[in-house]
Amino acid sequence: MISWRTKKQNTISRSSSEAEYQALAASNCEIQWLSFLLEDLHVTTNGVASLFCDRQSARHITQNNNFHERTKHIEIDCHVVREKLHEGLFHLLPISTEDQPADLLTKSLNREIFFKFLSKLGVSNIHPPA
Amino acid sequence: MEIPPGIASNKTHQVCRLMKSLYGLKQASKCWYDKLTSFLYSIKFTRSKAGNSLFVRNTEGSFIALLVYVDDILIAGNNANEINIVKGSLDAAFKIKDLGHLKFFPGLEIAMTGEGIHICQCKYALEILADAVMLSAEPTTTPMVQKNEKLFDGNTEVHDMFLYRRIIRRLLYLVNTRPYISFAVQFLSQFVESSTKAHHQAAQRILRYIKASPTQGLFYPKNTNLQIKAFSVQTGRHALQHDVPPQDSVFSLENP
Repeated sequence: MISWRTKKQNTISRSSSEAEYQALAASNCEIQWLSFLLEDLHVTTNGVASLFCDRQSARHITQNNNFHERTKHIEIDCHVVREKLHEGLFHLLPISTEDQPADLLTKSLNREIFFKFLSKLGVSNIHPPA
Repeated sequence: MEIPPGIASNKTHQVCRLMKSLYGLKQASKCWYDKLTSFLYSIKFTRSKAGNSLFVRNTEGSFIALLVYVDDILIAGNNANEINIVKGSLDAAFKIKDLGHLKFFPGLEIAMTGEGIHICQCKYALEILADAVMLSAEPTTTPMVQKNEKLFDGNTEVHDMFLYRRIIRRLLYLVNTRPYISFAVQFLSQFVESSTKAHHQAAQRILRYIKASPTQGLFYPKNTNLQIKAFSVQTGRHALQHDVPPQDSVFSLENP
């Protein structure tokens, strides 16, 4: 695990899909930065980055270039996701909500789910209690 | 600025010409950075476009990365000889002190083994606990209660704001190696202006969670087969009872 962030959204969204789309835009910027960094460090990655998003409608906004009544107000800077996706910076993939490890950073979870995500993200303890 | 003692001058309207920057000047940090970068450029390093404090050099089969934190410099590379040459030239220019293998870099404790690198903030975590007199507190298994109505009950009675702020401020830095307390800390940090007793208890719960495993950190295994996986999620107000939802992303670089 190399980078994470929990952030209160800067702007108000008119729909939850839009909010999710904005989160995608923020993630997109981070991926771009990471690929610059890896390029400078001469690290080769195995294939294109994958970006997982559990919201179908947000993925659809990214794929669909149409001018739609409900999405026409979305700020132009968010559409960077669409641009970068077409340039092939990353693949946008679906994930089920139960397997979304980023939930660890947006809600307080019960013990079972909390531990499930912890192990999924590779958190380890070098001095486990005896 | 006053004229230094020992320099006699009876002329007025004179100014001092600064030959080199001094500590305490607000330009000092920029001067140091300029000096260091021009030196690094002279030994064929280039500045990474991903970060101003990262410098890289790639010459026939050897690669060296150099990370600068004010006057602490971290060197990594694949050729021990080349690294020694760089260290030698840095020493000639700035008189450096070689601290050997990396163990401590701004507050992060780093352990290197044949299998990979482990990063944790054990010392810092224990300092926070000692500071909040929580060293003998009972540990918990999660950093936050799942549904805590008390945080939103409209109670406006402010409770020990100074200590609360202090705890939150220190926890914010602990998030560097503990992504799983990120949400709890971010959430509680929204109340530093009006913390109530319930918020204070929630902050203490995070401390009790840290108490359970102060050495917990992140492990980066040694492998070459990497792929970037990013997860993005946004949570609505129903889950938080708060006006603006937080958004979030996790990046993992892992073996597919």
